[in-house]
Amino acid sequence: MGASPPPRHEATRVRRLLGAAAFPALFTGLVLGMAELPEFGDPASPASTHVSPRFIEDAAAETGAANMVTAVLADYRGYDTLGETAVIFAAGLGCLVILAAAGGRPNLPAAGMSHPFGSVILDTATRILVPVVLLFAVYVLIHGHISPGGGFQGGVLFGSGLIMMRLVWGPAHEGGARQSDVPAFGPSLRSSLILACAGILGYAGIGLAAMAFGGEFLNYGTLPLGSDPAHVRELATLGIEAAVFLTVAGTVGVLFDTISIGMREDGVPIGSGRGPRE
Amino acid sequence: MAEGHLISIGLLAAMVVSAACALAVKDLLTAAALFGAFSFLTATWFALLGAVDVAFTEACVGGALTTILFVSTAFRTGRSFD
Amino acid sequence: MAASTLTEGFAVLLLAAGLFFILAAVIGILRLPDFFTRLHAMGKCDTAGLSLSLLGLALLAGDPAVTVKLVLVLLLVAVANPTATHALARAASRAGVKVWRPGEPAEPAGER
Repeated sequence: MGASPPPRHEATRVRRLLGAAAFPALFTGLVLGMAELPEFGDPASPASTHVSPRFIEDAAAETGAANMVTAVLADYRGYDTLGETAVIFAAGLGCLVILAAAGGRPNLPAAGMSHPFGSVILDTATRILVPVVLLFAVYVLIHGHISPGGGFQGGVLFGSGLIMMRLVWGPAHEGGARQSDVPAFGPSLRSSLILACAGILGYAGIGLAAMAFGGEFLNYGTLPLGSDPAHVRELATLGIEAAVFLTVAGTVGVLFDTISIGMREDGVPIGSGRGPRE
Repeated sequence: MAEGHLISIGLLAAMVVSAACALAVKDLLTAAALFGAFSFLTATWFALLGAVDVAFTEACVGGALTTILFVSTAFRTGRSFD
Repeated sequence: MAASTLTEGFAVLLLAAGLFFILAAVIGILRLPDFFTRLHAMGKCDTAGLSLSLLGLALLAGDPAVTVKLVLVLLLVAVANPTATHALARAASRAGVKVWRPGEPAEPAGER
């Protein structure tokens, strides 16, 4: 920007020209790059001749995880998973920021979701189902080493259990006891957010701890958790999965609360600058 | 193998149909339900391909969670899309 | 292996009965006149059909662990499916969905 900025329509035109020039260049580059990739499913590609056999043969002995997907996801490709977890966290955060920035709109009573149904059948069934769902979520998390499952799936299941409670009993801290004389249960929006933060911080913290004990970031072999390196990696992988679990479950809670119930907690719109502590 | 192909083709065709219907309908709740159906078909297809972990995730996230989020969003924004 | 043949036959019977109930549910959804009657067809026939099919599969599964898991799924369905039907009916009733009376024209499927 010079001393005299060009008129506004001039800047718009320059921007459009830049865009018009950048789009074909990017498109061509991507297409050329695609052409250089190995054929899909090609058995002679490096991924099939070097990477996959190594994982298939050594994963269980090296990481102590019989489920190869878990070994790759949480150990070999720990960076990727850290990024994925951060993306999920960012999605929840973005939802929270956007909907809170939309202003302290009142709850929509017609949403049908902000009111507990007040039905004995629903109440009883939820009392039976929710503990089972939450327990199954933790089982999926812990058993992810052996069978399909892990932090992502377990976290989503846990979040689904929380959503079920929200649907039937209403938001925590707000009128849950009003219609079905069941005290509202489950984390509030703020607690969900804290859970999600704790998860992603825990993930990065495990990686940093590995660095502190002399390894690379997210290379868990150096952690002082035992003498057998495979067992150490197994424990660290479980920690990683638990961190992912917390992030996903917390984010699910944040997403549902911000989207369906509104921005209120303790009866005050979040982001309106009139929180109970100010 | 041939049977697997038949099931696969059937699943893929049903996926295309449900996706097209989800785009075509005006009612957002119907679209959300159709999208849930699409997710379940996708999960079944993943399981058929042997990717059980991915199928599990797709069933949890696509079948249950995003459907709930879509429905609640539809409640907040209005049901009809014109 | 007379016992195994008997088990298999019983399982096939259960599966066939389950498929029959699911078929009945589908026909009910397509043919019945309004939301509540369709829900009535779906809620009961779907639960019955799914339970019978799962029982048949549990008999066919060789691994006891799979049998136990299928029975757990059966219990879950037995609790969750009627509850979901109840929730749908209650929500529709609160939202003021019209109840069909004999003599009125049927509401075509897929429209409100």
